[in-house]
Amino acid sequence: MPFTMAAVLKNIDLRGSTMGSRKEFADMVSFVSTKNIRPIVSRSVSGLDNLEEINGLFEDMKNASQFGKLVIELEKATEASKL
Amino acid sequence: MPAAISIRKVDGKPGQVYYPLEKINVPESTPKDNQVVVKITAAALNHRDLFIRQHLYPGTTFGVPLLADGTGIVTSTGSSPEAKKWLNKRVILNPGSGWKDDPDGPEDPKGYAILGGTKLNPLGTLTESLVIDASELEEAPKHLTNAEAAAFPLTGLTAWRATVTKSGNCKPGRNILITGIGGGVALMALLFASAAGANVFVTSGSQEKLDKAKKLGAAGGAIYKEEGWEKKLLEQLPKDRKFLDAVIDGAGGDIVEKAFKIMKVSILHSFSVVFH
Repeated sequence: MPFTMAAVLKNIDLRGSTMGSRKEFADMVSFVSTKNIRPIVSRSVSGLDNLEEINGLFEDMKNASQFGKLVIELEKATEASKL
Repeated sequence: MPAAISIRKVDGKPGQVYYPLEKINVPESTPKDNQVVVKITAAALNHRDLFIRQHLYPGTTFGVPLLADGTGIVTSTGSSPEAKKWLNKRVILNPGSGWKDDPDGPEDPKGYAILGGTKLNPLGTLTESLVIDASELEEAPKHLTNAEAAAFPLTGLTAWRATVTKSGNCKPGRNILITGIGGGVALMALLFASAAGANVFVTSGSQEKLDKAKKLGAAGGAIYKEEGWEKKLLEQLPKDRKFLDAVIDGAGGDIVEKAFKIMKVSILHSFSVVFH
């Protein structure tokens, strides 16, 4: 990722960032609650048994076709297995 | 023994290999004093999980449940009052450990250990249940479904630190550009910045994603594959603030060369969210 002289002459800061602290996690979750923010789910599949379906979520990510998160729900599967 | 999904070892070089998924059983363990058992109800993917399957992520290993994002119900606890107060609560998990509150970075000399699929942390969220320290829990926001609650810990945390803590521009009236809208971190950054009252602009490779982002609060956007996209973006900025205050970028590439032209002189914040 080139950082150009022209950017330096504009006093631009490039700051790397990854993950965050336990405190930032608490602050973030609190903001989500207070502001009623709804994270975007692109698609979800159910259960741990169908590896093909879970593989399909990885394919979405490979193809960058998702808009939002790819989720595996375990609860529904548990309920279904009781039937 | 709880069932879980990990990767299975097959031959191949990092970057060329694609480890298959495998259902495994993880040993049942009882919670220590300050630990709880969380029955996982939903878990979510991040880009790191794809890198793990390609053996491109530091610490990639086999036999450890995949995934860092999870929500669930606390079904039993250790003996401490701190642990006991979580019983029967719907929780989300802090996606990593080793970083308490230092603004500069993780305090733990061993570094930050993200959940899922690496030798740095024995836990992952793609499992029926796990045992974790009570101090790593937050209550799941009540307005969210299980899928939504699983969908934001890692990307929410990463977007929060980049957009709120480090950019310092997640404020009313500021112009923030978020690149590659559609990815998890970018979307959470969009939701945070627009909830804070900033004017959010986005880039994507597809018009469809730009349109979806506008429905979520983006003020405008451009398709980065088009030559001169930064000029198109400039035209969309508010009349009284014709510059960007910050760029939240997860793609790298030529973003500095493109974006600096339309950034504010003297203060500019650009982020590259490389590994999360």
